[in-house]
Amino acid sequence: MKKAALARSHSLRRQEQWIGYGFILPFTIGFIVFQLAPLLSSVAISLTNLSFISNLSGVKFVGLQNFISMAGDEQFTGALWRTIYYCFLFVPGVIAASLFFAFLINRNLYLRSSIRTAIFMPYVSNMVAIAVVWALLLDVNDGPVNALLRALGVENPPLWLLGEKTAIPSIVMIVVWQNIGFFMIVFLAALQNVPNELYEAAMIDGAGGFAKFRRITLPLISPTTFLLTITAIINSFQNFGPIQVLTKGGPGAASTTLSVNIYQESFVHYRIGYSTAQAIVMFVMILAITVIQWRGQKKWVTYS
Amino acid sequence: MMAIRRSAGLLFAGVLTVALTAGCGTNSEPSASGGISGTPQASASGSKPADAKEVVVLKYALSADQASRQSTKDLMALVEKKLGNVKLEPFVIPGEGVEFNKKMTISLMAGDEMDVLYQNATTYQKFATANLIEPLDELIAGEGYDIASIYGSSLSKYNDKIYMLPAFRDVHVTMYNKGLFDAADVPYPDNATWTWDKYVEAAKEITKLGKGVYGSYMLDWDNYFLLQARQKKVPEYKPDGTSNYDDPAFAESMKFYADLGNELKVQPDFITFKSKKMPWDAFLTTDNYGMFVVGNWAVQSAMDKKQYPRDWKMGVAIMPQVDEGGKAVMGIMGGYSVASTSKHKKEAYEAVKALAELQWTLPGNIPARVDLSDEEINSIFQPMVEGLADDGITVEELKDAILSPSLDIVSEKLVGPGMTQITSLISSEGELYATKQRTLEQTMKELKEKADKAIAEDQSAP
Repeated sequence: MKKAALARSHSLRRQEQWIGYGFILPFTIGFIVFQLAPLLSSVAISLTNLSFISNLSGVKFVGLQNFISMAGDEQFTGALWRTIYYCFLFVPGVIAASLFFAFLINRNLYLRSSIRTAIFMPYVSNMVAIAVVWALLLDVNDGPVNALLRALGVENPPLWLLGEKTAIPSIVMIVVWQNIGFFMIVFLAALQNVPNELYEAAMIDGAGGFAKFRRITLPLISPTTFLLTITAIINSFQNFGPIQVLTKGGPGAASTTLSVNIYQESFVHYRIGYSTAQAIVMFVMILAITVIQWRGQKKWVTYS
Repeated sequence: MMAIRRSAGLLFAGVLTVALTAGCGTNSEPSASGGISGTPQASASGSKPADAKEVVVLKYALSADQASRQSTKDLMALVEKKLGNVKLEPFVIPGEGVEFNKKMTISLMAGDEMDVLYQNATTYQKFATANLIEPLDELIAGEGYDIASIYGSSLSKYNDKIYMLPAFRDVHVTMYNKGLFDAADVPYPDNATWTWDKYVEAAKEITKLGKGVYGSYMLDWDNYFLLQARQKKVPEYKPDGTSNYDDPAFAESMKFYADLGNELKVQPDFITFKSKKMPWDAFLTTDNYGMFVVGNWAVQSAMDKKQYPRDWKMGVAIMPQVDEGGKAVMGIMGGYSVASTSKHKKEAYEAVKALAELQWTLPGNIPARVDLSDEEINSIFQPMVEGLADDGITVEELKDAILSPSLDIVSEKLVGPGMTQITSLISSEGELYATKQRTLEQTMKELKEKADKAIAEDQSAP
């Protein structure tokens, strides 16, 4: 009797296991075919001298040579610094601007929903359309922005997207403007989850607006800030789309970031092995930054 | 428990193996094309040797747009009619221009069977380096094909081998707006004496900045930055293999181009051009530009009155010369090659020959052949003259500007080690100079250093 019950129990467990494997099978196959296999093949390619335009029979294993070459490659190091520069401008820019607008929208503001929609609109707009609008606005000679600056007495207004020094800040400005909507909505949800009682208690204790923001709001929205910061950093590395549409990496190489450089190495200069090695470096950088942030969050993220 | 795990593991591995290999297998279904037909049913590619009586189906790599054009269908029909035992079948590759070439490369590298490929003077060398196209020398020698007398200077070799038979040429010309010339009381360009100095003088006269009228219009393509140096045939490589951009001729060319907009103000300055994203066809779509130096393909575009309706008359003259009486014009040849993956190389070679020999007979094609009679040459330009009847352009004018035997065609593109990277460097470094963000000296120094690096990298590549 006991044996039969044990056997039935084993059979049930086996069935459950099969069902379990069945459930994870589609994901596992998808993960292996579309993520793990390409990742592993990328690592393998990065160790070769594969060229886009060469016979596969001529491909040689070069070990870490591609990674070593990067150190002395001014094009790569330049692109790396520009990526970091872009990241340093974009992440604080988008976090600060979206938090500011979320605060604004969270208050009893006149035409609140219209303003919220207006801020969110660029996020769902096509990047090409955005590029056309900004190209008109930032037209160096006849654009309204420079016309205003000239009217204000600026003799040599910036070249914006055409300037060697202004290209990246201009792109960041446009991308921040485009992304504020998404970041703002997430911040807004976080702000609305902060219990009102805490503000009331703080008010009774005589806390001012800034103290309430610093001691209550910031800590309680820190999980959201953490999530959005990671998202913003990852976004800032994946900047190929806006740069390609707005400047194509120019003028000169002024806005050639790592992602643009990888594209150019692959599809302009046909050095697949080398460009894949650069992509691996970018992947490791993003991973390292995320891990560091994840570990460091204990110090500043408050989970209620 | 262990047994269950083992079974589950085996099953999992089995499913994965099936899933992974399902999409990777070779299609064993007989191909409907790419083989020998003419028998009751077309056999699989290469499964049966061709003989004179059988029709060989050759795969001709084309973009979807090219494949759908009537001119392509007409050309294929001409070739099929001439050869009798060949049928050309479009092998459609997505994309246009550079994208098309990239995808064609991937397809060839993956071993896809193709027979006939379109190439030009800048692309075929890359394909040849990668052994993606076949040298034709043996086949040419085998039948004693007199290529020298048919193609003459249009023919080019790479590593002393012929990989492409040229079918047509595109040379730079001066397109001009007769109305603006008349309004400024400036004589039209004379093919015999037209120079850059006269171009600048005419442009100055025509330019009326208050009305938004400029005497000249040029684009931001790399060839515009080095116009005169290339016309003077200043070598872009030194004998030691490094770049020659420290030769003053290149700096002069770059300065000339930038000055037209920045100093002489006879064409939109580079900042305006880039900032407003001015299109290549602004000369045709407006009445605001006196002259436009560009490949003769633009003359063919001008014939399309639906896309480019004009109420002003256009003229066509030779490209401006460095010295009076010169005949150096920038140009490029387009032609055909045999793919290395072809299983019918002899038939593909015959098709390439037919394409190169016959393409000029279709309207709008300027032949690379040098053995045509005056009557044949006139027949090429007659449809163009008819298409441009309102402009009063004559066959003689077009012939002098585009197909005169006295024209000395210099490559409009850099051909040699590191050419892809150097070509983009010329534009990107030139852009910084033309937008006044770099001095000429800095620009040429950067160009020289970066070009040298590109050459070294290219030469060390596999």
